[in-house]
Amino acid sequence: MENQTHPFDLGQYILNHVLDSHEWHILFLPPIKLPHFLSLHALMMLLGSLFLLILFCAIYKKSDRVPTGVTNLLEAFVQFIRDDIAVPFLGQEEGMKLTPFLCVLFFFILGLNLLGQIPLFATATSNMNVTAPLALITFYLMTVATIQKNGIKGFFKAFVPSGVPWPVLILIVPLEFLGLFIKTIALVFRLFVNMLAGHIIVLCLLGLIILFGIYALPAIVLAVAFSLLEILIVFLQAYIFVLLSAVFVGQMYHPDH
Amino acid sequence: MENSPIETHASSGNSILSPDILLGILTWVTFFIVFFILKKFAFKPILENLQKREKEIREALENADKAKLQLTHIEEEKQKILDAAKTQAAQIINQGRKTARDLAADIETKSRQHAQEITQGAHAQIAGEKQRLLKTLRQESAEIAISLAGKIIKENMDKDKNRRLVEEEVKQL
Repeated sequence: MENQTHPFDLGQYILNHVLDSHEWHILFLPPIKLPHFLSLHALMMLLGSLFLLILFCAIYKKSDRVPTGVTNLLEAFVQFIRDDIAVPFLGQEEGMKLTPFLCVLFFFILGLNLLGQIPLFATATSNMNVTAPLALITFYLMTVATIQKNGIKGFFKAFVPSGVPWPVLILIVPLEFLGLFIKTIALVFRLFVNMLAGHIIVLCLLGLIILFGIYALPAIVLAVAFSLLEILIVFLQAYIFVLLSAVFVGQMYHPDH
Repeated sequence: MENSPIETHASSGNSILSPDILLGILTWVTFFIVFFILKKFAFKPILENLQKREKEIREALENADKAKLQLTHIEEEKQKILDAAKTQAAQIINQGRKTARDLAADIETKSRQHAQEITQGAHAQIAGEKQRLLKTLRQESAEIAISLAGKIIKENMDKDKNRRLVEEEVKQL
């Protein structure tokens, strides 16, 4: 009955926008059919990566003695990641080694997040299948790379906090070990759910206009305001993902600290 | 009962939580390709650039500090030299004044002496000249008197004639 009154299905409309598919809907044009191996989010990821490569290999001027404009902006980000994320949490040596990785991770996530903010484009990071492989790289660093660096003994030492009586350790060690997986899963969900939720809220607000017509027009103001907040969240989530990756890896690399 | 949109999508194999291995592998492949390219061609040079610039800035600041210190020393040195120069200049000026005063006094004394000598010479010359003139006058007066006496004696006819004669002689003087 309700469907007859409102033939427009808001839930379906939102899911069509946020879920991955093999069609790219561009306004006023028939949808572009994507091949089986390339979903919309995969295409966005490739576009985002291409943009990153162009940004750093063509727009960034390495030879600038005094950097200006985009070069200056990018260097500010790189310097921030090195000085405020990598080195404080991973130490001087490991921090410097992992700075390029953390930079790529940051710009990769940021690029995909920002791409999703542009109308007609989709947010690849709102897909768990994109955030999970990224978090698994952090998991790899927390496990395999730590074993390579500290040995198997050093790896397990990270689960045994110093100064804790042994009866408590029986409880803590399994929890700490479980924490390894929980941290990774938290990384996966935090990013993808944040990006997904932001889009769902904006689409809900815009959907109100379709449902209630002109009476819901003020929702546009809310949608614009939320979109601005979303831009902040885009940066924040990229920062949090990289920061937590550095913190988690740092905790495993240097269990004494 | 109707299925919710999420469930509908899930049943069609496309939900928020449905795994997609292909997309996962593609994410890894894309990420690592981007990582290796950017590491080699972007972040390594950027980090090297940053370190180089930081080093340059640190050195420039150190150099600026050194230059500042050097400048302070130079300022002190300059002040010392200026003070010494001022003292020396004051000494030279005082010495010059003293020399000038002495010289002026010397010149004055000498001038006075010279002037005195000239005056004395002139006085002596005037006195000599005066003596010579007096002598000449006496001789000429005697000669005139003798000549007059002779004429008077010769022409002593009357008093008027004598007087006239005397007057003529006097006029000739």
